[in-house]
This record gives sequence, structure tokens and C-alpha cells, in this order.
Amino acid sequence: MSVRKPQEWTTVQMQLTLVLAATAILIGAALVWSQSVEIHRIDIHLTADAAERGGLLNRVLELKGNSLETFAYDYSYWDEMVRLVQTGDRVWARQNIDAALRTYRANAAWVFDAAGSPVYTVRDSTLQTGPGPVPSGLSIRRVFAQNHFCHFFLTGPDGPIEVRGATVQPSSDPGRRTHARGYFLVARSWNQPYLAELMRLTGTTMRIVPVGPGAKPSTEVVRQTGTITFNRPLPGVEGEPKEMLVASLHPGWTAAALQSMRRNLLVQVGLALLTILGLSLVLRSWVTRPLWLLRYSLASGSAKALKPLERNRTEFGQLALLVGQSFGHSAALVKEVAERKRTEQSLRESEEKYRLVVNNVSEAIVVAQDWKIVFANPSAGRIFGYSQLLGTDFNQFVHPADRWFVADGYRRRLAGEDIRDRFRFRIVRQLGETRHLEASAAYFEWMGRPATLSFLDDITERLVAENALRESEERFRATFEQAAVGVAHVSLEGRFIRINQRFCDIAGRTRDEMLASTFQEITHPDDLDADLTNIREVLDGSITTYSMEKRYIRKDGSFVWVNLTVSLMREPDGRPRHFISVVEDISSRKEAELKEQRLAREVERRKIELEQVIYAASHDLRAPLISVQGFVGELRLSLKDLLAELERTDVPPEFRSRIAELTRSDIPESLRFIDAGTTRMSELLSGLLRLSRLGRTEFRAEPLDMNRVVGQVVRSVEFTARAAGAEIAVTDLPACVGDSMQVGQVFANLVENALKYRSPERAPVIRVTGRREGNSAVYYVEDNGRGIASDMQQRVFTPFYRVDPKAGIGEGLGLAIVSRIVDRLGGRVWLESEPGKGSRFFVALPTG
Amino acid sequence: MEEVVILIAEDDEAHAALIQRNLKRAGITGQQLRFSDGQQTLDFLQRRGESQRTPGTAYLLLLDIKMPKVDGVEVLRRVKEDPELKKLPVIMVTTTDDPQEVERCHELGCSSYMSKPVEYEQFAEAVRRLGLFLNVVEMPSVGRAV
Repeated sequence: MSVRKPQEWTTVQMQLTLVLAATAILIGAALVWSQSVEIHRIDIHLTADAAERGGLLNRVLELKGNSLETFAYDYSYWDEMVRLVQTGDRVWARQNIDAALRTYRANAAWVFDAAGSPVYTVRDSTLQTGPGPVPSGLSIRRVFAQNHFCHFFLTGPDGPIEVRGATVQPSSDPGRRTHARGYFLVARSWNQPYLAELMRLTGTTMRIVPVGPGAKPSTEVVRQTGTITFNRPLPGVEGEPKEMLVASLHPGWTAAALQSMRRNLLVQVGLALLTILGLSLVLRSWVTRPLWLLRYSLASGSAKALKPLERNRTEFGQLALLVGQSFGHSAALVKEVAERKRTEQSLRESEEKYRLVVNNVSEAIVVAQDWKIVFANPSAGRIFGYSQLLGTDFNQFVHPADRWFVADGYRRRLAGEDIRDRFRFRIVRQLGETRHLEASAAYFEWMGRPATLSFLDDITERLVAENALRESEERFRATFEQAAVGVAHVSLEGRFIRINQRFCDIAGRTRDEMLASTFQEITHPDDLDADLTNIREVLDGSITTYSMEKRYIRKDGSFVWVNLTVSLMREPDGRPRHFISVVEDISSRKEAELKEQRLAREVERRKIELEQVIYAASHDLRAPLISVQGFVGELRLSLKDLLAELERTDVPPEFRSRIAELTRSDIPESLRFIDAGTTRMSELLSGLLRLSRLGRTEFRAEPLDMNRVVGQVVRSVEFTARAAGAEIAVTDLPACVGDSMQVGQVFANLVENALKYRSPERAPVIRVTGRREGNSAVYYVEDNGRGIASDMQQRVFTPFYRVDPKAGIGEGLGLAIVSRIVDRLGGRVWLESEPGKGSRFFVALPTG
Repeated sequence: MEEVVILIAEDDEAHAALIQRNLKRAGITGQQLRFSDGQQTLDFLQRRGESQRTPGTAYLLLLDIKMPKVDGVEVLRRVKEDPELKKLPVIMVTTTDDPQEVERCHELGCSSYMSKPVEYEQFAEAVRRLGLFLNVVEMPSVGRAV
């Protein structure tokens, strides 16, 4: 039910609103008019006041100026002043002019002669500082060229300086008609105290502002602030003003008048608003609201909204009663129609619910009567693969092999026999596809006659999945059983739940024995703690899997080494279910490892033994050698004694010569050979001892500054090198890591060798250089010596091997020691050499 | 003036003979006692055997490192541990010049160290340095309370 919406401008409500708006505008206009009258009144008063105050200001200024003017006029028209100009009598001037300054409130006075030159000047403290008030360039004569008097302002440091002056005339010339005898100027400073006095006299606030030429006196009135401002330009020397006096005042009454005007306006506006508001409320309550209620009630068809209106005694109240009665008649009719509609609706809904269930259930629902299908839901059509089922023989869809069984069931169910109500059978679809169905059937009366009601479910996919699962399980079982490694499922407590044959074989027990035991029982006690620790970590989730080598105890008591890998199987919700253990028999590998360790220990032991043997042997061999050496010395001394004895004794000459031969030649020669032999042997033994000691020395690994290490080596051979005329050059060497003493020994041996095996044909030149190569530093010691034939190069590092046994001293151990040290430092030594040209030894040492 | 008694601990007969000859040649003529192993030496010094040192007499010990029963380093260690003996001057006389062994003996407190064969000049120098040469003053006497 809708009511046509009335045109905007034709509603009573809108018309009333327009009347209200017009009233408001009229009141507003009246207010504006009264306000402007009030302002005009204030303006008239303000202007009159300004004129009066301006007159007062002018009068004050004039009166203040008069005293200065009198001073200038009276003193210039005086014979004594004429005399002053002519004689320059300063005594007179001081007595008369200086004293007059205070009387006339002037601050300075000047007297000039007719030519414009200053005759006398006096300034009080106010104008004592700063430049004189009359600029030097100013021509006094020009100021008085047109006039006998002058009045102007100068700009001073404390404010403007008012200057007044007149020509000096004798008393006999009151009209100042004769020529000027001189000029008299007086000045007053408009400083702060003076301005303050003016302000007090005029009741204004004054300030001096700079202005441009052409400024005129003016008066400004600002009504909003109630301010009157007077501008009085101060004329300069040339007539044009440079500064201006600005005096402003606030007449007391303006503020009060303005405030009272605003308060009146506020009261008037308030009254006007209250009037309009009251009017609109009355109109709303008497006219607009009843109209709206009636309209709403008729539009909505409800009499409820009219209740408050029915008590109204106006025409609106009677109208509301009439409308209410007409509503009462129609309400009964409406109620009856609504009741009928509700019943129909609930019936439709109930039917719809059942239809939805039957149509949307995924199972087929089929009613069979007289071997025919009399009801089928949409799912039945989908499952059977036929769109038209009603009226067809249900048995024609059944797989031929199942037909008898299905028909028999139907017959017996109708006969009331108690037979199994759930069964499976197959159907053949339109395109020959076989599907497996599960049925649930029951006896049932359809339209008053016996029938069966069947629920059918297509279980083909489920069967396929079940088969796949079974196959997967079989495959798993085969993998589990035939794996080449031992596999077992172990409960959280450690019991073997499931185990393959390989595991049983490794553990040396039967399957039944294994299933009756826990891993704790068959694990070697020494390995159990580590295993249990791992298991705890897997259970608390800090690791997911672990591998370890451990021993199982076989039934016969022997051990078997296995590599065990354990992971944890969890339930879908994350709880641990059981462990999966995979074991691999590593006995043979373990044995090999142990054998290898034994061998390594054996080799190490032998090496130490050998070093001890060398040490002890060389030590013990030395003792008898020392005896031989010592007693050779003794023999020599005895021989000397013998010779001395012989000299003193009387011996036949033939004996003497024979003894002399023996004692002077044969015996000393034998002793020399014995000495040489023992010295050589002693050197060999020292070498052996040094070599054996290398094996026993602790090597330190510290960063080495090789420039320092090699530098020390070069200094230690300096004497030998100089003797051989050798040149040793060392370039900047990279750092490495090692034992400084041992590395120093290496380079000492190499440099000494280079000096020792120098070429007889040329002065030795030895170069030591080095560079970084990856993780090592490679140094080379290069010489231009004899060189080493290629077939001998490999053997130079062998102990006691000497390329040329006749060349110099040495025991053939230098390079053996080099090789041994470099080896122990984790480095490498090798050489390149060419006989007759020289050799180059390479030493590679680690850098970190 | 007190006479210094020189103790020679040396197992090798020949070496002992050489040492004695060199001492003689160095002009050291005082009483000399020889021990052929470390145990004998310790027994004498610690007054346990038949032959015992006399308290109040000044001694100087020449000690070989490699000796049967108790070796020289051990003798040196025990001498320097013994509050009565620790002032006894000890000169190590050995066949080895192993720097580690030399250092060890110096750490234990030997007075001097010589490698064999020893020449008499060396003996003369060592004994002079120890202040024991002939009529030298201020001889440390073993056995006095410290």
C-alpha cells in the first residue's frame, strides 16, 4: 500500500515552513536596520570628538612652541645682540643667552654673523652629544633668504630637534626692514621626557615615525577599536617633513557605547530566534504532526499510530476516530486470509524437506511392487545408469549371475520370511559396465499393497580401494621379509613387535625368541647407555632419527657388530607409535678397522723403539770412542815426555836415529789417523743422535714471521759466506705455521749445503724466495753450485747418503733432517737441479 | 785452609782415568774418591755405606749422567733436594750434548756442565769458577746447618 507523495511545495508542512522563513527574514532585516542607525550615531559622536581633541592637540603644540618662538624673536630684536654679533663679547653672551635657555626650556642657541659664520654657541646637556643641530653644509643665509624667521625640525639621536630662529635686528627696527645684522637660532629636543610631557597634556599616546616628503597633517578615526589618530608632519629645513608626530587616543565612551550596542543586538537576535522557534513548535504540534500521523496510518494500514490523536478535540481528532473505525472492519478479513496462507506454507515446506532428502541422498531409494519399479529417486537413475526406471522390471538390471539370488530374496521378503536385509549384488549398466551394490531392503506397503523398499549403495570404488590396500600390504610384507638388511618394529618399551628373518639371523636367534625379547636384553652392556640416550632424544623430538654402531649378543654368547638406524613412527595425532630399526651386519668391516688400528699402533711402537735404539746405541758407542780419543791425547803427551827423556839419556847414535824416526814420524802419523777416524765417527754419532732426537722433540705450531727466521739463519752463516765470497739474497717471504727452531734448522741446513757444495768455478749466489699457494707457503732456496745429477736427486734425503763423500766435512744427515722436520710439520720438500748449473730446493709449509 | 775432596762418579774405568789425569794436569792434587755407580755415590754422600763422608769437609762432585743403578740426573736431583747436600758443587761430565739434557741439569741446579772428552784446561776453568782452585778462600763446606 503506497500513497502518492505530494509535490514538495504543495504540502501544508512546506507552506508553514515558508511562512516561518519569511518571518525570520523580516525580523533579521529590522535588526540590521536598527544596528546601522546605532553605528551612524556612534560615528557622528566619534567625528565630533576627534575634531575637538585635534583642536586641543594643536593648541598644546602651539602653546609649547610659543615659548621657543618668543625666545628667538625677543632676543634677536635687541641692540645688545647686534653688539654681540659685532664684538663677540662672550661674557655678555654667557650671562644673557645661557641663563635664558632654562627660562624658555630651550636646549641650545647659536648666534651667527651676517656672513653666516658662527659667533657664539651654547648647548645644554641634552644636546651636548652628537653633531651640532645645524649641519655644517647648511647655509644660514639661505634659510633666511626669503624670511626673517624660520621654524624647522632636525633629526637628532634622541628624537626630533625643533629649531626656531630670526634675523638679528637693532631695537630701532621693529619691522625688521633693514638688512640682517646676524642670525639667532634656538633649539629644543623632542626627547622622551618632552614627549611624555606632551602626552600628559594632551591625554594621547605619541610616537615619532619617519615619513616621506609630501606628508600632510591628518586625522584617522577607527570605530571598531574606538581609536582616534592624529598625524602631524614635522617640517625639515627645506620645508619637506622627514619625521611625523603620531598621537593616538581611545576616548573612554566609545568602548562602552560599542559594548552596549553589541549587547542590544544579542538580546534582539535571541528574542527573534525564540519567537521563531516557539511558532514552529506550536505549528508542528497543532497542524504538522496530526497531518503526518493520519498520513502514516493510512499508508501503513495500522490504526495504532492514531491512538494519541483520538483524544484531540480538534477536527483532526474526529478525523482520526473515523479512520480507526474503518480499520476495525478490514482487520478481521485480513486475519482470516493470513491464517489460511500459513497452513498452506507449512504443508509445502514439509513436502519440500522430504523431497530434498530423497533427491539428495547419495544412495538409491527404490520401491518395487509386482517385480516392477514403482518409485526411484534421482540417485537410483545415476547408479543404474538409466534415466527411465519407473515401470521397468528391476531384475533386468541385475548381473545374470546374481539374478536368481536377488529374485529369490524379493519373493521371500514379500512372503514375510525373516531373511538377511543387507546383501551385495552386481548390476550391469547400459554400456555393459559392472558395478557392485550393497543393498538394504525391507518389506513395506505402497499404496495399500505389499512392496519392498530398498536402499542401494554403489561400493565399487570402495572395493577397489580395499583390494589396493591388501596388495600394498602384501608388497610391504614382501619388502620387509626379503630385505637384505634386518628390519624390525620395536615397541616404545623396547619389545620386538615385528621382525624380518634377516634381523633374526644377524642377532643369532629364532623369530620366536626375538619376539619374546627386548632390544635392551640383547644389546651389549657397553653400548646400551648410548642407545638409550639416543632413544630418549628421538622420543622427545630433539632428533628424528639416529644411527650408531653397536654390538648385539647372539644366543651363543658371541658379539655381532651392527650399524643400527632407528626412526620413530608416530600416530596421525603425533603420539609415538613404535620404532623402526634397521640393522646392517658390519662385523667384517669392524674387524678390519680394529686390525688397522692394531697395525698403526704397532708401527708407532716400532718407530719409537727404533728411535730409542738409535739413541742408546749412539750414546753407548760414544763412550768407548771418547776413551780412544782421550788416550790418543795421553799417548801424545807420553810421547812428548819420552822424547824429552831421550834427549837427556845417553843412547848409541844408531838407536837414536831409529827411535827418532819412530817417535817423530811413524807414531805421530798413526796417532793422526786414529784421531781422524775417531773424529769422523764422533760426527756420525752426533748426527745420528740429532736425527733420533727429532722424533722425540715436541713440535710447536705457531705463526712464523719467515723474514725473521730466515734472517737469523743468514746472519749465522755470515762468516762462512764472507769467507767463500758468497752473495745471499732474501726476498720478502710469506708467513707460515710451524716451530721456529725446527724451521730455522731446515733453512740453515739448506743454506749451509748451498755454501758447502758451491761450484769451484764461480762465486756462490744464493737466493731465498717464497710465495703463497693455496693453504701453504712455498719457499725456495736456489744456488748456482755444482748441482745434483737426476739419478741421485731422490736419494739426497736418505740418511748418510752423500753425493760426493770427498767434498768437505759432514755426516750426510743434513737433508735427511730437513726431510724429517718438514714431514713432521705437515709440509713437503723437493728439488730441481742441473749438474754444473745449480740446485733449487722447494719447501712447502702449511699456513694455518 | 780446608782441603777439597774431589768425588768422581763415573762407571767407565777409562773415562775415570782420563778425568784423573786431567785433574792432575790442571794442578788439582787433593784427595780424590771414585764411585762406579750412582747408588755408591748417594750412599757415600748420605752416609749410608761403608765409606762415608766426613761432616765439615769440603767436597766437589764430578758426575757422569749415564751410570748403572741410579743415573747421574737422579743423583743430582737427590743431592739438590737434600737440605744438607744442596750446597755441594756438582759438575756434570757427560758424553752427550743433548740440549734438553743440558737444560734439565741446569734446572736441577748443577754448577757446571762439560762434554767429554774433557781437557784439563776445562777442568781448571770450571774449578776456578767454583772458587775451589788450590788455596782459594771461602770454601762451601758440606754438612753445616743452613
